[in-house]
Amino acid sequence: MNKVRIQFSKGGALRFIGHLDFLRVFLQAVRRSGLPVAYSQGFNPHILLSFALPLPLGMESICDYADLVFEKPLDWGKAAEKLQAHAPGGLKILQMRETAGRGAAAVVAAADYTLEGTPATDLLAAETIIIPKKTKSGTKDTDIRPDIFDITTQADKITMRLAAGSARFINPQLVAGILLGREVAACEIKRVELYERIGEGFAPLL
Amino acid sequence: MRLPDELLLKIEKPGRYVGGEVNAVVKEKAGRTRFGFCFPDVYEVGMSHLGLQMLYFFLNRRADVWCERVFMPWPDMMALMQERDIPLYALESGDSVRDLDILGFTLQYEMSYTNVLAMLALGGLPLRWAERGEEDPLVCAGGPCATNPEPMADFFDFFYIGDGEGSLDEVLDVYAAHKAQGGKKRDFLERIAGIEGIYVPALYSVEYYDDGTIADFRPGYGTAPFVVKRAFVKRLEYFPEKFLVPLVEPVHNRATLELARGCMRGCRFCQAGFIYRPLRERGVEELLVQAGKLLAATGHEEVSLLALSACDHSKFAALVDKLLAMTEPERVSISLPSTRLDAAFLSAVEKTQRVRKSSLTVAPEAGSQRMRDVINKNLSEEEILGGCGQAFHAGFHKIKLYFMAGLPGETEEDVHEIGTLAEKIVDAYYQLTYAQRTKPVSVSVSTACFVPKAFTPFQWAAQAEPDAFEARQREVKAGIRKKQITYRYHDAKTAHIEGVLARGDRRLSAAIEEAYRSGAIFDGWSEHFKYNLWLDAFDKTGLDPAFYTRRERDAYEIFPWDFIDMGVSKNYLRKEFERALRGEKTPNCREECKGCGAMSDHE
Repeated sequence: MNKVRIQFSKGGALRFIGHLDFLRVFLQAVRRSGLPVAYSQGFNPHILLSFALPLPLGMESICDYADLVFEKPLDWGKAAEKLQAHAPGGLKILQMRETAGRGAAAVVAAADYTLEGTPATDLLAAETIIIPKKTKSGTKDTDIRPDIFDITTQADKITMRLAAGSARFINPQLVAGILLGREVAACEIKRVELYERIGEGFAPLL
Repeated sequence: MRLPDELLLKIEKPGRYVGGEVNAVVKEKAGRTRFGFCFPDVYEVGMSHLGLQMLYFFLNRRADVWCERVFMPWPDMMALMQERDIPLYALESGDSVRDLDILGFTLQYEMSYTNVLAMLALGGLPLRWAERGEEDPLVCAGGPCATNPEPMADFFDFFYIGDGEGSLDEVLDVYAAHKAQGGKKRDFLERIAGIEGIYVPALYSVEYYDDGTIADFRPGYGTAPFVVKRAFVKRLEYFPEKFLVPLVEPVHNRATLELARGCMRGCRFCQAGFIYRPLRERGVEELLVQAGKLLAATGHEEVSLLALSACDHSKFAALVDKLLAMTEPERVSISLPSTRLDAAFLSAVEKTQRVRKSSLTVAPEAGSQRMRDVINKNLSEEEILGGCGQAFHAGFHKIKLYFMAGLPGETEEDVHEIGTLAEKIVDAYYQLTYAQRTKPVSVSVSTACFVPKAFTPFQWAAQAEPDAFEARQREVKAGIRKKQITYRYHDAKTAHIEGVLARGDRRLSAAIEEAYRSGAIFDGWSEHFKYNLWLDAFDKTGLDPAFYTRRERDAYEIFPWDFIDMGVSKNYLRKEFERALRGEKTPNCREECKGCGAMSDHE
């Protein structure tokens, strides 16, 4: 069994399907490719594929990750080409590399997002950013400042590094909305990188 | 045209509207006949339809044709398209349907008729052929409902009746020549009127008696034949090597093999059982090759064996064994449609269960043996109970039972026996030992409202009125006492409208248009169906729905579809109707040929 991390980008028509549909479409591409992937044991064997982080409907990602388990070692460069040959339009396989560590979904801690615009406020300067958050029992005021790691602006391009993953997650549309002082649609934002935490810093998932 | 992102994010399931599926065909536009395959329902339904997949690749195999898909947008999208003046477009090119040469609608069920009109309107096209101009595309229709084309006669330039492989190439050849030469639509229609399977409503006229029945139906132009013979292929040869793989999860997400067309059974209620006669099978080796190609091209995890009665395939057991040998190592499961509970089927089910568990669907169609004989469903109670018992042994614990209510000659007692049969099936489960009963048994009973269809022995029969259907449903409910049984039933009002359209004549075009204009749309979807709009539409157009549903027809009545030759003779259907009324069964085609007439197409 060889666990492989796949780096890919997702755009075009694929932006308009939900996470479960994308999972199915990705699995079908894997099956079409005929690559020797591993299946789970049990009554309903399934391909061992997991994504680092679902992408909101409408958002493009130029650098995303999934883990896929193979039955045996392969030339991963050639395997990536083969998977690409069977991928639907909008899915680009950027690279595949064997990984020994924990799963992408377990380690992802932050994401970089870009969008066009000029910030209306300096969020980094704020001590706290309190917003009402919906919970099971009504709304609760929450401080989202700790979830904002960095915001940089170059020309008209804003890059936001925000908490992302199962432990902590902040909706990029929400932050972008506060930043620009207007409603921001998912299709205006691009996800450009996913990170895991290494000590005090961040490292890309591959 | 590309839809703006912000619009796509405002609607439900935007993936329905963006195209870009694996195996979608994109061609250069220039020099080609551009065909729009129009499915008058939502994307997920249309993409599950084998006919769409077959015709899409059949048409696109021609270098001179580019076939694209057009679906009915869901009401949220439709409202946005109307608001922003976005015309209905073909999914592959994004071009407005007005830019195409031919729009071909598939008529799978009567309750999609208003969606056809909605799609024409969204495309910016006049609804009636008489009002469309030379610049507008030709609009045609095929599919099972085209066997009674008359209610939609005012809207389509022509109908295509019968097997797609039969005459479509000839029609497209004529079109290509016509387009090259230039000429009026009418020239083209007159030219194709003589081709098998083609019906051009403009070339025919109807006269009625005072009581509303047809006095005369005849062609008024030289090339138009008195009898339109269905398009037909003796041998099923064509099958696509790929399927489109949808991005949005369709209703049925799988590869499908067409085991056979036609059915040897002769159940008297079943239109498909008569209009696709005689039974034409595909060979086992051919099917295996097709399965291999389809699975490789799609990545599907399930392959479905489709036929009107799949286990009647003469090599069914061998097919299942060979297919399993191929699919099991690939972790592909095989699904079998609702079918007969005979030994061949049960053995196949047990084998396919090695891959995946599922519930079992059985269609006894009627509760009492007497009614099963009336409808010629040659299935005895012993067979049903024995089959279910065997299924329980094999590990099934969910059984779905399909019945019809409102069958000709049905009594209260017949209906009551639906519940009795379901209870006997529950009892059969409790004949397993305690150790074998690993899960609670559940039996779901569902009754459809019987709607008599054209080209069946029941085409003469009266249909039950909505209140009679509802009384039947209450009777079924009263007959079910065990908690393991759940009961569902189809809407009686929908069946009433379906019944009017199923055996209607061309005067109904006005009522369909009126219903559409007053807001009827997605009539097959219970949340959108508005019965009163239809009743008002009949009223306004001076038509009485009871004329179409409530009457038992006279033996000599001319039906609106009589000018079509679907193979089986009217005389044979009448004999079958009379046998039904006497409760006499008819043997299946393999046991004895009764000379229905369909074999004459084979000669």
